[in-house]
Amino acid sequence: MALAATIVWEIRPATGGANNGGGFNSAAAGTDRSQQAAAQVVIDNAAIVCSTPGANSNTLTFDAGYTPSAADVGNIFCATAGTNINAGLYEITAQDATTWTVTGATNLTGAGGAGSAVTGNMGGARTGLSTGTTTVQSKLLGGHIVYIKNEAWNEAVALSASGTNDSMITVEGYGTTRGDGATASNRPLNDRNSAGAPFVISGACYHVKYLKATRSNGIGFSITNGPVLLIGCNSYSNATTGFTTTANGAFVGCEAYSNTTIGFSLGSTSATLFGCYSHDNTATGCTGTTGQKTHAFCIFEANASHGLSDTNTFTKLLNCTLDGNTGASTDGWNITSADSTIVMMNNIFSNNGRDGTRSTLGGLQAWADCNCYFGNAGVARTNFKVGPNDTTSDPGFANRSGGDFAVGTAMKGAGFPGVFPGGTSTGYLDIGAVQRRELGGGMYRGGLM
Amino acid sequence: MKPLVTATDKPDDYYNEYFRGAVAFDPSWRNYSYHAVTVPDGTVVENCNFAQAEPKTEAITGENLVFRNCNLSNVAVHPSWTLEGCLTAQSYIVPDADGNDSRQFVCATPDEFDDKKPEHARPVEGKDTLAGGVEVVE
Repeated sequence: MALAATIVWEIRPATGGANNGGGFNSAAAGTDRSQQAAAQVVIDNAAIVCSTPGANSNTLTFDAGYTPSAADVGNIFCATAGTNINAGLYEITAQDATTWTVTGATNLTGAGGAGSAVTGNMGGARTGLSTGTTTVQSKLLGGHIVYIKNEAWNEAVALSASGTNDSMITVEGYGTTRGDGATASNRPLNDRNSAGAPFVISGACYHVKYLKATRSNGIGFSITNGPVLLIGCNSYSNATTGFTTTANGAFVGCEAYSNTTIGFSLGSTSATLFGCYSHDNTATGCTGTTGQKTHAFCIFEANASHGLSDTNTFTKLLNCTLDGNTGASTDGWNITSADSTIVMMNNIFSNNGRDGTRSTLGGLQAWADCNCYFGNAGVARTNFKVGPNDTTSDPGFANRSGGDFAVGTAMKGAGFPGVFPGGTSTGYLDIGAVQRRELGGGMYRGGLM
Repeated sequence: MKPLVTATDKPDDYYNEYFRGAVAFDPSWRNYSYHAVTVPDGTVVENCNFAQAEPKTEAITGENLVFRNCNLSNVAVHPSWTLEGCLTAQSYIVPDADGNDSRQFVCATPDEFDDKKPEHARPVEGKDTLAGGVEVVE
């Protein structure tokens, strides 16, 4: 039997243990012992001595040193070694006065006979997803949640197990309390200090939330299988790209900066960037190669190549700000080959090294309107049509150099859609990524950066 | 602040997009990729990108500088500097499968660099040798 789909794992990179149990079945009646640094029960074949009654058994008998309790049920037991023992991660599903009954991917006891000299741990957080005699990542299933506490962290996390579309695997960082939607420095930072990739996601169906990656000798977040949804993640100062995906996925509220090549590299896939921020990278803020791309409410600024670059894509660029990307041949948006279904609405292309938008296709039939072109060193558009509601007004950014791209009054309510078809509804949307908040308006719950 | 390089405005010693010329440090700008930068002695620099095209480039002038969470990739590090959480990887620009620039990691710090250049490293010093979609503007 496999582990239950309701297991919740706890990672504490600095204070946990590599071979702690690290998990608890949230549907079980016992007491969660994973949300503590130290193991609750350390079976060391000295102070606590255990055995199993025979071959292929899932019963662990306490011969000395510990009396099982009902509170143990639901916790994960990490078996590390023993005669005829299969090392692995097992859920305690029942107990009596002298035994635990466990379940896992294999039987606790092998076919060779009764188990003895057992060692392992129940309870306590783990130090990592990909560390220990049996890794947490190798046991992940759809429905599992992995919480990672904000502690000093340096691990090559490889997520190769897969969830399903209706039962994703969630990997979520937190500051002090699970589910606190950690932001800024409260998020766990996987600092590789020039070692290999912090995060490689080769399994399918993940939600990855509130994690940071830095100083990889390559990519910060590498995604090769999908779908994957990244929320509130941050990747900076890596030796190549911040985020790379060759699979379908979406990025919400993610930030890439100071990476040595590209901020977001979106391969031959369908990908969405929503509310993301890519800036100060050595190459392009975001690249797309083939497939459907949608970028909405994103900022691409001060990159040392184009803000956004696409080849053979079907891109929808909506309410984005592309500003101050630096270089003699650097554009806000550069397209080398594209499909005529490109839609470009409500964007600001300002202060870029060359053009606001530039296509190598003379006949590009993109639908572009309600865009602002201001202060670009070249021309506003090369091979893009003029939209009937385009503007050249100063966007009036609140504080560009400080990274505040809140727009001024000239952008207020100037965006699409305006009057909807039928004439019965009228919408008011500002141009650019950052919408104005008017007095008396709704209250935003917080941010992801 | 305007970009450090545009189609119409470049440092006097701008050579190409990999060697963009010398500029002064301005706290309101954070991306100095491919530039030589003069930073006042004793400055604390945070969250800036100074990445260079080739390993051990003498890109930053200044003593007793403190760098926090900066990208110092391919930058030669002065012994008087203090580095906190900075990337100091040395790498060469190489073409990826699509012909775009990527990087081949060589070593973690300038001190470990042994001057061995990968055969497929993209030549970046001469404007006539650039290739693979990199536009050169004189």
